[in-house]
Formats: sequence, structure tokens, C-alpha cells
Amino acid sequence: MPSEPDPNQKTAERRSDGNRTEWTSALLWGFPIVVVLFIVIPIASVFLSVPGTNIVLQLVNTDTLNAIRLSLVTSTTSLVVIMLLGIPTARALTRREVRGVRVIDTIIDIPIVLPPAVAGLALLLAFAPRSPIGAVLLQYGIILPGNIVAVIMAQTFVAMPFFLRSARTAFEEINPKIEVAASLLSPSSFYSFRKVVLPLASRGLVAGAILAWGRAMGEFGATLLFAGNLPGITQTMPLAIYLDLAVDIQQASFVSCILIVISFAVIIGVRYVVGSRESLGIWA
Amino acid sequence: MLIFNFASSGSLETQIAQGVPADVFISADTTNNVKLQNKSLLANGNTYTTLLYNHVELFVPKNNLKNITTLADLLNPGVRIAIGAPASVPAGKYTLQVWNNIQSKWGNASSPDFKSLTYADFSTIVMTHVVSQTTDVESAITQVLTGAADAAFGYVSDGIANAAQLEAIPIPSDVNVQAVYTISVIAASSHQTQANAFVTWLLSPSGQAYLKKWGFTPLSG
Repeated sequence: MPSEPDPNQKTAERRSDGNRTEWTSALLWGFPIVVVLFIVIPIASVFLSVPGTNIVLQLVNTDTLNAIRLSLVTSTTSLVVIMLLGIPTARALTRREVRGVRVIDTIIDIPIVLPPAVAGLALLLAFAPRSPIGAVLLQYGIILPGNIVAVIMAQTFVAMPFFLRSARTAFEEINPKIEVAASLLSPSSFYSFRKVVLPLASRGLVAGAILAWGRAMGEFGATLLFAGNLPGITQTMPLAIYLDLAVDIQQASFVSCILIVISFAVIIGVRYVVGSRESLGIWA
Repeated sequence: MLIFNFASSGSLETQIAQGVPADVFISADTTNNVKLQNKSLLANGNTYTTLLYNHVELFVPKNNLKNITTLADLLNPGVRIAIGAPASVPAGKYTLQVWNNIQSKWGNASSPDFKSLTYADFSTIVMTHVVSQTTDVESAITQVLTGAADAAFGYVSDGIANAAQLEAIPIPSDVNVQAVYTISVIAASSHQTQANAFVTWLLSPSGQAYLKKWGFTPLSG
């Protein structure tokens, strides 16, 4: 807000001061607008290229429905696996005084910077029937490529670090004194974990879960290489879209719209649920 | 200087139709050039030409753990096959045609090419052995190289490029499919003269001889 005009100041000076504040303010807001446009314009283009309702109904075929089902089932399963493995892992990693924690920290961050195609190749070389592990699995009649389990493995591999980072931060931000107080309530550390630590970390855990689930829903390269493309068994929505692109761009756009809408709905829905909970956070 | 963009013919058609710059387009079928023609995107009076022929071939890895030596072996339980996605990859489309030919000619008692009732459900059974419908034919071959699949259907020309790691199992001509590769110059190309010169060379005897060396069947057969 421009300050009260001082009658002793030159009018020109006052005006230029006020303009400068407004000008820098406008410039600053230009940046978020550019960012938003950069995101919104391509997404809007996808929606705008989908044909009218009648044709839309024709486009919903078995393959599309299968892809939607597979995406939801695998991403949710992957998230469950990630959280079951990730919560204790993140908790363990807050013990910074233990030697080797830093090393583990760095290692579990690797999938973030790994190109998905490399992740897929890596999983293939480690678990396909031709690998040592794969050969052992083969003896039990288990072949991962072409199996829905491979889809879940690929998604878990690439999405785990997203959850871990958020979970780690969430646990680290809890004031250790609170945990000491909790342990006075009950000797069981699991009890204090469940009743005190988890609720305090819930915001970060939920944020991490959204990130991981989103990453799993969008996973393409590693899934394509490791699990393969089998409609009804491993063809998740990103794979279906990519293959549709080479046949019928309108079909691809339509499935893309569904993917965008589902992802948005979940993210907004979860945010709403978390936001309405009373925060117990007592930050250090 | 030539710059290449390799992908399945369907992918490339989509890109060109969306305005991605291209001078020459080679499709492993006629379908994708027809699609561009229907959108009036081709040069030279909106036309394309036949470039060469190719044929479908079956590939297995050198160590052939599943001991696949004939097409009938593909019916064995536990055999894992990779093919290009039939909807978008011409090789996949041709592969399905080969399977249908086998079923209707070799497996049909009333057909003059009848061989045995083993082939009566060839197409249906082999389809259940497919473990991946890849985004292009090269990826199907890669599935065999990495062990994710025991066999893959590709082109005769793929056998030449990967001779060291693959065994090729030829498909008899009575059931095989002739793939027709077509070539066109794109109307929006800013290098039309050079593009046409390149196409002319490929269609010339020396160009066709070069293609033949790499396993493609020239226009003259």
C-alpha cells in the first residue's frame, strides 16, 4: 500500500515510489502466471482434442476399461507395499547417529534420477528368466515379465523414493522430547509410535503417499520394458495411451483425459480430507 | 546428411500428421502412407511409392532354451512370444496374418495346403502365448535378447542386423505375408529437392542393391 502522501515531498517522487512498488509486485506475479499457463495450456489441449459425447461413448472399449482397472489396482497395491516398507524404513533413517544411514539414504534416492527405461532394463536384467534370480523363480513356475506383479514391482521401484523423502522429513521434524514423553505413557514403543508419532507425521506421510501414487499411476518406461505390454494383464493407462497414439490420436486423448481426471480427483480429494483433520503438529 | 527418426510406422504417422517436421517417410506398410494421403500431407501430387518388400520371420535366441525349431513348437505350453502391437506396428499386423494363414491353410482339412490338425487352433493358442505387444518390432526382438520372451516375430531384415545373437526360423512362403514398404516425401518438407533425390536413389538399382544387402527384398524380387 502506498504510504500517506507527505505534502512536503515532491509529487513526482511520491508517484515514482508508488509505481516502483506496484511494478515489482506485478513482475513477481508474472512468474507464477507463466508457470500456470505452461501447465494448463497443454492439459487443456488434451481436453479440447477429445470429440463430442456420442463418439466418446464409442471410444470406451474393453481395452480402455482394462487399462483403467489395471492402473488403479496396481498403483494402489504399489502404494500399500511402499507404505508398509517405507514407514519403518523412514523411521529407521531418522536415527542419524547410526553409521551407514547416510549411505542408505543416498541409495534409496537413486530411482528418482534413474531414467525409467533404465529402471525397466535394470529390473529385467535382475529378474527376467535369464537372470540368476529369475532362473530360481522359474523353477517355482514364476515368470515376472508378463505378470501383473512385474507392474507392481516397476511402480514400487520408481515411486518408493518419493514417499521415503516425505516420510523421512515428517519423522525428523517431530520433537524428540515428545517421543520421550510418549514413552512415559506406555513402555511399548509400538504403542507410542501408533498413537503419537504416526499422527504427528501424518501430514508428511499423506503428502508422500500422494506423490508416490501419482508417480506410480504415471509410470511408463519401466513398466513397458519389464512387465511388457499385455492388454488386460500389464497394460496400464500410460501404456494404453502410448500405443493408442500410434493408431488413433483421439482415442489416446480420451484415455489421457480419464487419467488426468482420476489423478486430479484423488489428489484434490486426499488434500481435502487431510486439510480438514485437526493438526496435532507440535513442531520443534 | 541424413537424420533419422526411428519408431513404429504408426507412431511416425501420428507425429507427421501433427506437424512434426519430416522430409521423407518410410512406412512398413501402405496403411500409414494412405493415412497421410487422406490428410493431403504428401508431396508429388499427394502420392507415395512402393519401396521394397519384406517378409515375416521367427527369431529365437542363440541358446534356444525352449528348443524351438519349427512353428509347431510355438504351441508348446510355456512358450513365451513377443510381437509388435498389431494395431500400430505393421510387423504385428503381418504376424497375425501369418498365424491366421497357418490356421486356415495348414490346419483346415478342406484346404489344399492342409498339413495336420495340430494347426487347427494355431492362431488362438499362440495368441495366448504372447507376453508382450511391443511398441515397435525392434522391441519385440529385444525381448528375446533379454530373455523376457523365448521367441519373437520380426522381419527377415531384422535377422541380418542381429545375426550374432539370434537364430532365424524361416516361415514357408505358402503362409508367409509379403510386407509392402512404401516411401513418400512430405508436402511440408523444406528440402523437397534433396528428399526426392534420396527417394530416387533408393529406387535405383544401386539403392535397391544396398537394401537387398541388408535383408530387404528389392522391388524386382
